[in-house]
Amino acid sequence: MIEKISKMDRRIIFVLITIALTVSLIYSVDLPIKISPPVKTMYDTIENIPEGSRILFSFDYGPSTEPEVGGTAEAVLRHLFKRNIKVVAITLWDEGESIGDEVTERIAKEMGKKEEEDWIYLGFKFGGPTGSGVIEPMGTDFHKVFPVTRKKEGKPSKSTNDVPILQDVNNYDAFKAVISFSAGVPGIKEYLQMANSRYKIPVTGACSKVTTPELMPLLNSGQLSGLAAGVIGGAEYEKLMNYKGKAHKFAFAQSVVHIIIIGLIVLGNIMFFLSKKRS
Amino acid sequence: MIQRQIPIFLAFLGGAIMLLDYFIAHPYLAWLRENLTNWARIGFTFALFLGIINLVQVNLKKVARQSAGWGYNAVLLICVMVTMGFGFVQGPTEDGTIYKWMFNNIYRHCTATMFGLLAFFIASAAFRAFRAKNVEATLLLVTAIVVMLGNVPLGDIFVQNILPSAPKWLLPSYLQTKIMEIFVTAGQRAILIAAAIGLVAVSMKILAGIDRSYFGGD
Amino acid sequence: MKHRNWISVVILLLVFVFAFSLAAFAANGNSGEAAAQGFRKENAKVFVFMILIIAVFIWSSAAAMKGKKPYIRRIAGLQAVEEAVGRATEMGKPVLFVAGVEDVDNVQTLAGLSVLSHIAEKCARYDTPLLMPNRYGVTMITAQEVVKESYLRAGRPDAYKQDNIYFVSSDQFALVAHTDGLMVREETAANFYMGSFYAESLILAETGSTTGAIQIAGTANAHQLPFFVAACDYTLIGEEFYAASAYLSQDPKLLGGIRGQDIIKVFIMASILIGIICVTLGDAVPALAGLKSFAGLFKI
Repeated sequence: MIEKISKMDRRIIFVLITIALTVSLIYSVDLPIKISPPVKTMYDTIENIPEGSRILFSFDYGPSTEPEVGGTAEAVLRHLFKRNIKVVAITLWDEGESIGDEVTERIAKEMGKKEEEDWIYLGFKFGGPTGSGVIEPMGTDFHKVFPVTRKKEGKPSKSTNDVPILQDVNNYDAFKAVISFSAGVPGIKEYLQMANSRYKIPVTGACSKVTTPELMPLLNSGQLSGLAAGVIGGAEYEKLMNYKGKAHKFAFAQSVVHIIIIGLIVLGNIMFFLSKKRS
Repeated sequence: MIQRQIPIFLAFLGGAIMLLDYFIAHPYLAWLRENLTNWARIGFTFALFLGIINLVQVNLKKVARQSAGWGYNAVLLICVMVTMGFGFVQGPTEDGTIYKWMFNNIYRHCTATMFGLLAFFIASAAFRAFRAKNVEATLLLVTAIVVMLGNVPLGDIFVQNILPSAPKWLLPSYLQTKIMEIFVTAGQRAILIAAAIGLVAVSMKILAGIDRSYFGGD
Repeated sequence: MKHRNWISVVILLLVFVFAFSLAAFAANGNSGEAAAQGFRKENAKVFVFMILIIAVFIWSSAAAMKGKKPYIRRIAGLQAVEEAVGRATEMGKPVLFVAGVEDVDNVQTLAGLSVLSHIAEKCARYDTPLLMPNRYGVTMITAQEVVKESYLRAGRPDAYKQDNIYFVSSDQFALVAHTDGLMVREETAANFYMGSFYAESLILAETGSTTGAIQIAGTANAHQLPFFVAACDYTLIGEEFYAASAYLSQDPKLLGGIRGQDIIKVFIMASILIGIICVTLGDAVPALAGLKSFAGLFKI
């Protein structure tokens, strides 16, 4: 019996996790969310941006990490629009192209913002594996990197010089901050390495939980102006925004799965010690 | 001999231009850097065609020979042709196209599904690997449990239910923050510094032509 | 061959320094745009440190070639390469190699390909099939050349099969899905994951573990190391992975380079320690406030 549990078939674990996730996603419970300092710093960074300013919003994630980072992106967009901050959105990930389009359009519509005046989504631009082909040149000539707007159904592309929100944008000086939602490379780290270190523009954003340790030294040194990590970071930001969105729902599901994994680890160790005692 | 020296020299030249541009601001160097980067990007993009040709060749051979599982190879070939066909005809970013529909309704869900597998694999890997076999494994196990509990709101609720008067420093969220801020940051910095030095060394070896194993060796 | 290598290294370095000086001189000579040109002073410290690393590296490699081969501690993951390939040979199953999910412009992929050449040579000697799915065309072509050369070196050019090193998809998860299927279908007995990995690391390693394969992983992406450590038999962490090529080849000049890296690490550790002492003393003792400027030396 001990041996059986100790070497439990993976499929039993998979079934357990499936049931836990399904039930917790359908019957979500509101958990008390505590605001952590990095998320508060990120919120304050955006709160301190003067109204009417412009920020660069980068969707650096794909469909695979949308559940983790997407909720935070929506919460931050709502925050920016609420404070009447103009949003220039781009993406450095080809997979994030349609995600960026769908999210900015939906949130902007919800907040009553006008395209090309209050916000614009310029789409995907290939900058190489590290995004250097986009991040660096934006510091010298923004319109050279994005000469035309994104073509949409029923809306042909036009010169970015003719877009009101982009008219006096030449480089990073036109933006008060870069907010990157990243799930890998290129992402926050690349913006820090190229945009922040060279052009001194504040960088903040959200990332998937697994890449947080990599960004901790940058957060602690003050190079990164706040960070919302993973689903919980998103839930914290939603709490600061006083609403409950995707991140809150996923936070409960994540909590349940964490407890189950800890339970499995404890069970495995109990069986390990019992079998050791026996032998 | 000259067959080996030319690629090494070209690699050195490319690397030298990039390095020089980092240290010297000059329009010629900036022009060189920009163009070299563009040429490299174009080269890598053309390499995609080579990859596709290889993909078609390898899978077509398997279909022709009717090797084991050739049906899957046939499905792959059909999917490649259909996707490429619609992409070329309708454009990859145009809204309302079949290509966009396939991207939004097939590709996005497939990638999300593959990423979702991680939740299951983490559970099975944790169950199998986190056993207190020795001191280091026990330390790893305890840290993992504390960090997992601290990462979710349920962790603090769990501890506070067992110990209602638990002090702040005993709460998983506080411990998790301290572990991340102190130990993880220290460890990450150490790995980062060492890996960065290793990266410089490997880059130097490649640029100087000392390490040639990446193109076949001596 | 050894002397010619070093002469070419020195010539190349001299060319670089000459070109650098010329460019800096020419840039400073242009009065019209002098403000925007010339040596970037903000990168001066990086330049000094780079020269220091290169100098230590060259000295260490040269010393290793002249004198005793430097001692490198045992790296379990690399010692197990022979065992892993041998196991695959005994079981009559293929060896799987994944060089990461980045293209050949990433140094980790190049480091992975260096390890591939050694593994391929062993596979050639033992007549064990080597399978390598790739995410990028350039990586695939480079890997094909590397493996072909390895088979030639082992005296088995006839055994080389180009179709075993192939392109799958430029999508990260498509590559992973294919590789997982390959592991389960072909029942690979030894899996090597050497390169830059992201989210797919655990998916690969866990699937490999279900098939009972011996798994050796190496990456410098610290955020994926925990997954490899949990699911693989051996893991090369960060610098160990970069040192793999030198370790496997036992080439004195490459081993000397590793010693050079260690010397630089000692220098960095000493700087950190001295910096901590200076800044702490500077804060605690007002008379020694000037010591705090030591920290400013390293600020970029």
